[in-house]
Amino acid sequence: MEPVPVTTRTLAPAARSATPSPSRRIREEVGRVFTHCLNAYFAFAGVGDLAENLRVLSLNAELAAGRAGDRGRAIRVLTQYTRELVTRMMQIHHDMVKIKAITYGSSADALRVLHRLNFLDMAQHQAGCPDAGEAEDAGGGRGSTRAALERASRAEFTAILNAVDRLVGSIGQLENLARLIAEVVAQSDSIATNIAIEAASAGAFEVEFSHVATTMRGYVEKLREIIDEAGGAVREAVKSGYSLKRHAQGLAGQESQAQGRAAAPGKRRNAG
Amino acid sequence: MICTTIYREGKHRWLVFGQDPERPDNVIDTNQVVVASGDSVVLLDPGGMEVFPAMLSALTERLGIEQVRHLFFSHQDPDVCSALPLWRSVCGSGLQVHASWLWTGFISHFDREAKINALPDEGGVLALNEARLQLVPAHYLHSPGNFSVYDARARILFSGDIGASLVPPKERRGLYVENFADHIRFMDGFHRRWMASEKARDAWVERVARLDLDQLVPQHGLLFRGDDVKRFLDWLAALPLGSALAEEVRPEAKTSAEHRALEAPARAARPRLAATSTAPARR
Repeated sequence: MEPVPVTTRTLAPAARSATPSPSRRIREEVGRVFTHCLNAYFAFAGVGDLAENLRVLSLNAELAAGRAGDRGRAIRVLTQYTRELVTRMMQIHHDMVKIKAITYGSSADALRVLHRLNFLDMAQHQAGCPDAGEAEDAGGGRGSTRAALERASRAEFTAILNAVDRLVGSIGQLENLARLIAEVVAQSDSIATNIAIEAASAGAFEVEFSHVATTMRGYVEKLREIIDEAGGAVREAVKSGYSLKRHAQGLAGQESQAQGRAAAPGKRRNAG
Repeated sequence: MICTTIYREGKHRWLVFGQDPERPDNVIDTNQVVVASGDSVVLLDPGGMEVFPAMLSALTERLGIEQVRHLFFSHQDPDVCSALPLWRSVCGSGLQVHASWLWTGFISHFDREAKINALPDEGGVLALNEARLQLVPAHYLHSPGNFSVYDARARILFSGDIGASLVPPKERRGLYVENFADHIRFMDGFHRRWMASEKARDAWVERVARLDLDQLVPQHGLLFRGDDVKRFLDWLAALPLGSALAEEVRPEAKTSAEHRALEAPARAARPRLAATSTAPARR
């Protein structure tokens, strides 16, 4: 067989500076939201341990109340309320773990999609895909490539919106949980106060019941610190989340408009 | 990115894409190989994410993206397959992806939704319209799950990392090796360090030497043609491999005394950790 002539062609150098600013903006926003969420979860990390400490305290208080007989009746009731609060706190802690997984997962999804979108954008640029409004390319290869890249980009935008929705949704749930913890803190404080009042009339058991009240107030104080610290982070996360959602929707809207114009060659839409 | 047609007969072609002048220096240069038979195309080692835009652009100057039916990964390295999710997003839904069974779970880290056809160790045949591409086992050279691709019609073997060379751009003169003796310096270090098994090497060389070959196409660097194919196989067959183990026991040491003699300096040469102690010093 005759050797086949080898042909060589050097294509136009690739332009690597085609990082679109809307995608970068979203990437930065996702990073910001994720950081605020991380701060909130970090602050809330102590809730589980405090709940357990409170549970042990309430059990010991109930035993002491049992030994105190009639003088401990009111304390027993208060310790039962305390254990109900502990159950709620444990449930909140459990729910927070699930929400954290959603936050982490959806952030990672968004960043992964943005990373891929970056390369698809570069591919569109290098393939010489015309901007919206220019004439459809006559070459079969280019036309099908552009269509394929647009289809791929649309899928990625959908994926970004879904990921951002999930992320913002998880922040909303985190906000709810923060509110629930604040309620538990308020009720725990009230119970600690009542225990202290009952302790004053508990005779020989006053020291023991006062100690319970003081310890419980200590836990309540720590919970307040947690809420203060986490609450700030949650508020920032909520704010950043709304901003992120606006940008993601704006980006998806811009792209679908651009693709709509590209699909209708020769037509022009009036700006604004 | 430079595209070169290295074989064409009717509707059967081999194209090699590479030597991208815009490639960043820290991203290793790769050859992306395309085999087209009629309206069906397979990409052999289509490249990493960083080269995807340039590769897609270059590829679709020559053929439609809808013709790409198969992606083949010789092994699991990122420069081979990290662009998998991008290719899947632009190619048709019937795209098939092929890789060694050893790596399917690992490649999924690049694209968890990809369905990968797991190739058995014995290899197989990839049918592409009228073309039949043989998947030749090349395990441990360097990857433990690794294949070369042989096209009997074109008389070309795509050899993956076997035959790879790292040629500085200013020393390149075209796509093919022109002076084999001078080319060795660009291959030597790579093969000594990367290729893991002399036994595997011997088996591969023996297998490939029986093939009817005009060209040998590696995934990095220059291609071999004509007599240089045999020169390469002969050179590889004689090359000591596994240079990172050079100070350990060598397989050619036959007696236990020789083994002990070799081990002693090797032990002495091993870096030692500085002694540290967290215990309070005794007075």
